[in-house]
Amino acid sequence: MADQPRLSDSPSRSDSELIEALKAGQPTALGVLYDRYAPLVYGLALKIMANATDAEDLTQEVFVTLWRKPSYDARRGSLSSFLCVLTRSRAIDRLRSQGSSQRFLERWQPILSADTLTPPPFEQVSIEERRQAVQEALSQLPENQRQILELLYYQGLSQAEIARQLGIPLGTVKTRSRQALFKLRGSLQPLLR
Amino acid sequence: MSESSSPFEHEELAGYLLGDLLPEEASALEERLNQDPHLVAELLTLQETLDLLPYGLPGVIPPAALRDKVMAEVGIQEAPTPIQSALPSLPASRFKAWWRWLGGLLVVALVLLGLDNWRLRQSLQLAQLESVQELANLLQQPGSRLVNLQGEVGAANLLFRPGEWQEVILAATELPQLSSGESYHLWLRLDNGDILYCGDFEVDAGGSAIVAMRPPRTPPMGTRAQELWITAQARSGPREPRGEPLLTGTV
Repeated sequence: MADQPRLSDSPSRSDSELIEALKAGQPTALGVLYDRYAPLVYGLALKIMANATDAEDLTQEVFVTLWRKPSYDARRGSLSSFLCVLTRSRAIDRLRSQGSSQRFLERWQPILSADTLTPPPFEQVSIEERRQAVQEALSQLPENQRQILELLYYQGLSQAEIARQLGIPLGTVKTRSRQALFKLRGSLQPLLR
Repeated sequence: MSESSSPFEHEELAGYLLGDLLPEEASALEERLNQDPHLVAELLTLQETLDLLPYGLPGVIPPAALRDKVMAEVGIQEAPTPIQSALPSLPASRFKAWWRWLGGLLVVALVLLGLDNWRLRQSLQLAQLESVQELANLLQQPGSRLVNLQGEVGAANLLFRPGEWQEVILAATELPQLSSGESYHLWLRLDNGDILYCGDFEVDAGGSAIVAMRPPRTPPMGTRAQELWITAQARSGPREPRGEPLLTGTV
């Protein structure tokens, strides 16, 4: 199935057109959106869940949700951001319900080291541009700030939990996370509305 | 940043977003947010900044089979897949006859529904009208699948959408009458060995039934439906299969 051509008439359609098609019950639209955004969603799910099976389940859930309840509203941001927020939110819910945020730390790094980079297909230029901008912005953050931001965002840990985990005062966590956020905000200004 | 907000407010907004404010501080900020659209705009910008973080990750291509699973779960079949090869291997003539019977029943029922729904409900003892309507709905879904169950006596077909076991339609014919207190039970075996109870049903005087079932449990993610079978057993007994399968089918 993976070798077969997919929906040859649809890949050039915009996200908005595809979402409209999705709401109209056109199943091919979901296939195109999956091809477009599954690497982003799966990559994020894998980062948070740190388990390939869990990441697959979550990716499936996100796209099935998009099909059954397409609540995305273009006025509130890009579809890719919507999918990221949905993925992160559900991933963290799952982690919390599993009580596995602790074992996360032991698992995530080796798994992500085996990542396969996404090929840049149709209409992913903007995703690639964002990717480069965010990676550049993150690389400019001091390591101790970036680490805290990632613990907050990808694991949903509280600042008190991070302080305990890293063995540093809570006030330091607070200061570093805020500094990191403001620096990122400055660096990513061109991508923000 | 908005001109009307101070550095202190920016700090507060960041703290609010990052979850490091005390409850009373958060409440006070929320009150100000209710009155200051500039502050809200700034908060949204910070939220957007955070939401860009996933772009810093390398995209990872999921396994190819995942795409098929997603499409199957929403009932989409884009191209021939092994699923189709698992369709019932009824002899062509019997298969056509089955569909004529099912189609005829459907047409008759839908026409009657249009005439007098209430009277039909009263006159038919099987409470199957919802099933017929649901059957019509299911038949209209691309990717709906039919599994044939066969045994020494009778036959049945189960119609469902892959990945959606919350609702399935079972149509059975030529099944024997059961003794009082017994009913037919439908069971599903998963590839991990688990057995799920799908529902039970009774047949009419002609040995036929068409029912919508809503299994109380559905296959968990990552498992696959493997086998279906029907038993005849006590209606009120424990929900575990008893006795020999009367009809069996492979999913």
